[in-house]
Amino acid sequence: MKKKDGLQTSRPAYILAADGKSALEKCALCRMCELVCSMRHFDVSNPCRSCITVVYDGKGKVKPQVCIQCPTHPCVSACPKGALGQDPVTRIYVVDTDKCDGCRGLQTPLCMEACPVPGALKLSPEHKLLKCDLCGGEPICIKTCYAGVLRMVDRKEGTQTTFKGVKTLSKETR
Amino acid sequence: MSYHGSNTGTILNIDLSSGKATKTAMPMQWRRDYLGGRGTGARIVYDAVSPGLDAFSPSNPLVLSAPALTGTPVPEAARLAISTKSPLTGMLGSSNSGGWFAAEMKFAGYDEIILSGSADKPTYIWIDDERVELRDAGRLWGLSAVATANAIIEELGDRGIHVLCIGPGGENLVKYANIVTDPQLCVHASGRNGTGAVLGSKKIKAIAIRGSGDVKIAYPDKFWGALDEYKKACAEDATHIAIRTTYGTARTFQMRQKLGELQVKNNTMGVWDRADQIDAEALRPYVGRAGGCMACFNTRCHRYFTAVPDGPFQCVVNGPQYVCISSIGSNLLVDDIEAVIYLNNLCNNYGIDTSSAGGTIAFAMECYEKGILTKKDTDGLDLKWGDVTVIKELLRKIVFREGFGNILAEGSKAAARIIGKGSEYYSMQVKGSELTSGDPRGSLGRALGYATSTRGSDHLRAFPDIYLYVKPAEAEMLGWGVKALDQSRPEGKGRMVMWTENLMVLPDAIGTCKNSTFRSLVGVGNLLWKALCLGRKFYHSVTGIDLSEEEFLRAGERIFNLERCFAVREGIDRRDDRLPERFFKEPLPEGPRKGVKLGQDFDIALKEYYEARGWDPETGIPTRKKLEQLRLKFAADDLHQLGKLPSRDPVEVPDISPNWKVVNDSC
Repeated sequence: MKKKDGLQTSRPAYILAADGKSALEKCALCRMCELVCSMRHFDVSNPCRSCITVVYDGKGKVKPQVCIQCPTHPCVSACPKGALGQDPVTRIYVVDTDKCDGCRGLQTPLCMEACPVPGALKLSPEHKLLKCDLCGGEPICIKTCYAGVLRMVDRKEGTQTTFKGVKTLSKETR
Repeated sequence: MSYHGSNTGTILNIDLSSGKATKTAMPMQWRRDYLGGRGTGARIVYDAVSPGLDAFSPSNPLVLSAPALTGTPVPEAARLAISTKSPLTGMLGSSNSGGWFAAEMKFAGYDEIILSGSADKPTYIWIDDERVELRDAGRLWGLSAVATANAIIEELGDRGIHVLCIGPGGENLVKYANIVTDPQLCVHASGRNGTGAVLGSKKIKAIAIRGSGDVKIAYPDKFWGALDEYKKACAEDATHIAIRTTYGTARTFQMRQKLGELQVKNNTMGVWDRADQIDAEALRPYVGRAGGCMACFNTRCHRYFTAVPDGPFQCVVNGPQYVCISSIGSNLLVDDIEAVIYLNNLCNNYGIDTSSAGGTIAFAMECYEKGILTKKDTDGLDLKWGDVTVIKELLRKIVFREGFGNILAEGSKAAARIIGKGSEYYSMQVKGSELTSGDPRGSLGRALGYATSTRGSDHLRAFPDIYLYVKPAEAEMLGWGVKALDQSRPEGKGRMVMWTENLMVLPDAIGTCKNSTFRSLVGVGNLLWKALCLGRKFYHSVTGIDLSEEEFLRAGERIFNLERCFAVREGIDRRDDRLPERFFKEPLPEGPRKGVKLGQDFDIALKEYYEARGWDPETGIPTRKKLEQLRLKFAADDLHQLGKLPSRDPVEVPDISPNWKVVNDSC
């Protein structure tokens, strides 16, 4: 229990999740989340710059992939440059793009290799890590997802169910 | 002036004969005059095609235009506009489709892609950002649309690639072959006018594209502001959105049945007692998910992964949409929804337009019923209404141009000319393009819209149903007069149809879906104008080009007039702005519109329409004054050279455009 309490204090209060199977069936493949994400962070429209990616498996399954601010956050310890860390105010794990160099020379950056959620992290055209920062607490993708696939989940209340949902999601992708 | 928003101004010219790809810049003024999409496409084709050119000639270009708003998060901006000279109508063939291709074009950095010349062997084009490659498509030739896309994806090894391709219909130059986008995901087709046949004549099987570049937004702050406004407009219209999401466009089928204007049995009836077996409710159990195109905000009208799990009609398909259900469902008296889904899938994979295919087969079936065609003519086929096996066989014959199918592959107008014996009467088309659902009898606005559309009969080029939503005061303000809202009288119809035709050019030109344009009309007063205001705001925030509402509508009028000039150049005039004789001779036999047919009123309304447009009421040809007003002097000179226009207008044409100032203030 002690460990659990310790984790709770070190994690953000909310996470962004495409939770549950029924919600995923609603995803309309419109990729609006990708477009508004790149707009919010870079003022341009480009799915290659968005922190969320809608993945289609070619057989009728559609999933938005995004960082779920997981409790183990192996990406932080994997980073050789110390570019990943926790925002002191919001407690959200974010990337410092000044420090990140996308592990130049390596085929896959170390953080991406360590990440348990496939497709949650990717590199921008400038070779910097793109990672969901929950827009500082008010994700724009949720506001523009009319299908109701994405939502913020209170970690304290929803830990169990949410993580179940998200885990199934990542298994399916593999 | 330079491009600093979503437009790059880059035109990619691919000369298929030499295999060379070059880039040119688009004049900035075109963005103000023609906006983009259907507008710039029309201008490029107008400039490149000389009158009388064969649509299958290598010099007929095929233009893919990604309108200004595509590739941005502007809600529902996903439409890809395709322009070329149509083999079906001989006029400017413009067609558009949703999906993801247009956005990908923007990410790759192109506003327009022009294909000219002709390849000497089956080829597909692979565009990866800057790189353009012509690749051999020998092994793809003959494959269905879905198989083609899957084979290309496998060859190039990336599921994120977007593909546009033709099926066997386009390869065999079926006059109404379509271009299918993203068949590997969920089929979106730019169906009308036979654009696929033009691609087939150039021996291009497919175009695959991948882009990773940025689409710039000129004023992000203004964009977010406009988005908030849009959300508010949607909140006011939640019911309409819920209907679209739950039923898709198929719901319109029920509406047509209720109003008594359904397309049944080659337009001989307006209601059908078995319509409930193929309507949106019947479709619901088969639907996979409500899906959208790129940046679809909340309409989600597509029915992705609609599946018939077993039986003779087993298939998985996107749709069917409302036009498809009526064209190959009620029009052919097919009363099994599984069969409609199957035939929709078949048409998609063959790459032919469901409305024209349905219309042509209905024509053949009626000729057979009336004894004009016999088993001897139809290769032994018994063309009974509603016989799915026969329809299936006919589609196959059409696509591979076998025997009787070779005649039907020309479209119903040309087929009637070949068959003769008075069969012209049963061909339900305007200027060669088959009618879509929505019987024009009893609705003068609709009749006028069908007759004057610049690409042949079409239900999306005018918006005749507008009378259901507009209030008398608004009709007065927009310059139509209160009588325009009374469907039984001819007064005001011309002005109303002109206004909506100009308006309906705009979604095609800026790339938004017509669902969102219609949406803002429903239920709440004067939201029609609001839709225009919002479109203008998005256009400004994204491209940096500030046009007033007046200039916006003017651009719509300009594009429409240019398309008309193209048609006039090909020999179209007042005599062609006519609906099939049936609508004037046969009243509807039953339903709410029982006993109604078109009459003298149609000619009165048509005359008023020409006057409202500033065209010659006797010939239907735009006047020089009108064209010069719209900065289309070059088109006026072209028509003068062909002897269609005098060098000067003989009489002064009064300008009766509505008073924009007044309308503007109410915004």
